[in-house]
Amino acid sequence: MTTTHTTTGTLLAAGALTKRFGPLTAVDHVDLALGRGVVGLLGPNGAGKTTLLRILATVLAPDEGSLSLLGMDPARPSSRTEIRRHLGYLPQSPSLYAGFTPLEMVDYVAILKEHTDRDWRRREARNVLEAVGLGDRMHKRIRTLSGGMKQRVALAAALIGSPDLLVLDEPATGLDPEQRIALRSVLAETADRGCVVLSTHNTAEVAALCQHVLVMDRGRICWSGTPTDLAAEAEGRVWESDAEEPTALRSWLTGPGRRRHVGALPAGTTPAVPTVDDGYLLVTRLSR
Amino acid sequence: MTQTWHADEETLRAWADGTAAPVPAASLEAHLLRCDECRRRMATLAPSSTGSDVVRRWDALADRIDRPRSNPLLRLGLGTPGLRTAWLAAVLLMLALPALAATTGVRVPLMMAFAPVAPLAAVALAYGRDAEPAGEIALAAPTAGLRVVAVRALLVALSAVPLGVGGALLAGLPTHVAFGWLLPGAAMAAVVVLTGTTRLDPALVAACVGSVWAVGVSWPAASRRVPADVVSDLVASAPIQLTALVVALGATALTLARRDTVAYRRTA
Repeated sequence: MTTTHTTTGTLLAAGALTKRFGPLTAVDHVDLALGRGVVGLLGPNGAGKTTLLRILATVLAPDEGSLSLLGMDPARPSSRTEIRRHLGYLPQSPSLYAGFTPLEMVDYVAILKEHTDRDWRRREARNVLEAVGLGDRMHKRIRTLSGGMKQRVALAAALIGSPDLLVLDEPATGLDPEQRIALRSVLAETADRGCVVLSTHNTAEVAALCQHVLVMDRGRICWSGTPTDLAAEAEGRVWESDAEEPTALRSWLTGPGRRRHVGALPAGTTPAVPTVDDGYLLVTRLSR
Repeated sequence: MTQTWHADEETLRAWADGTAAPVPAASLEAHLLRCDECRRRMATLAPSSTGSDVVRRWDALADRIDRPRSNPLLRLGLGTPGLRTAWLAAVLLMLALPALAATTGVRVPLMMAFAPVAPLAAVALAYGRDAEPAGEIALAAPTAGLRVVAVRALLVALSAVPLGVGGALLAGLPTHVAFGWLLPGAAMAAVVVLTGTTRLDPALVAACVGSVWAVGVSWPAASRRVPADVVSDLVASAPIQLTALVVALGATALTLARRDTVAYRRTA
């Protein structure tokens, strides 16, 4: 499946991207064409999201397929280094040195990104830490911070140097709703000039953060569109009742004794207003 | 940071208002530079009228606190206790070995047996998973791979090697002993760097190569079969030195040819 939602050229293009771990095909012939904006990779645990993101972050080499990041081929060492100069990456479980303060950690990552000007690093490190809401914790040791704060330190490290390509593995984990809204404005800034790819298994996050959604299941991209489109997939195919329904593809409890179903609407039933959740559950079931 | 005292409310407020006398103000600023607690309290009082002299001084203070203290090379190479320990261990070993070799009457050729192990241990530590404070974030950075490893290994080598050679000469060891360990050390370190481009664990290879060398060089002398001097002379002899040079150059060339594998993983 090819995804095109760009108005200004392709920043990230993949053709039949495949990665296997022994008998498991974690990423199975994925095609992508992404331009500016925030793209959400939505899928159940084990769908291959993290493996795909690690390939896009130039950390892992694909077994097969073509990949172009910011117009360059990451398989060539010199282009890979150049890509990395314009790349921000938040790994799934970032390892942060606990003895550093957030400011020291971000400064260290800036050094890894070849920023040698001390004043620039200080200014930028403060800016990105303020942007993720850690302005008042810059001088605390990382070991004293909560899980959500550590996540935001790693996010700040990914943002330093205003990268054109941001690869974020579950950036909203550990954030409260208010911080998630703040994250949206941070990502929007990058999305104005570059491409943000983030993963999540939370449909509410996708709706809140992304302009475009890719649903991933069993290593494949099985659906692509806007969050509104995803909800619309379940239009006329979602309903609620008090009983089990034979025509339902999926049913789940929504309250005491109340069930919600997606699938073929039984005759005479009034459809419910579809949500992104409904659409997601429907397309992942239809893809199997 | 531990502080034995904290500024009282009145002092902080006077400084924030701009009414503090110059000497107490300077004293408080010096304290604020070191004390998180008082800075936090000051921030709640922080002057709101923009453009005032106090705001300017508060910003200047914040700038000084936030300015990174050491240069990038040192942050990269010695930024964490693990890296500093590796560096310190190598330096101490290089200080202690010549002295021990010269003063103690042991039969083992100490310098030849143990000095070459220092560089490869330093390299192994530089590769170590714990040596990288940023984990996978570092892999996605332009400096990833051999560059960072090389910076770390060179920082250790540049400080330890002159100490080892100089110490040995000062301690009165023969010139060929003082210099003779360098090429074997470089050869073994290069082999460990090379294993970093394979799936082998550099730390394991370093431990194996290092112990085999140390035991192999010490054993003939320790078992009284050959005097220590003869072993030292043998290590310093042209054939062994040449072999070490060839191994060092060959391993380095192979590493450079395979440098991508350090930073671009084919496995998980």
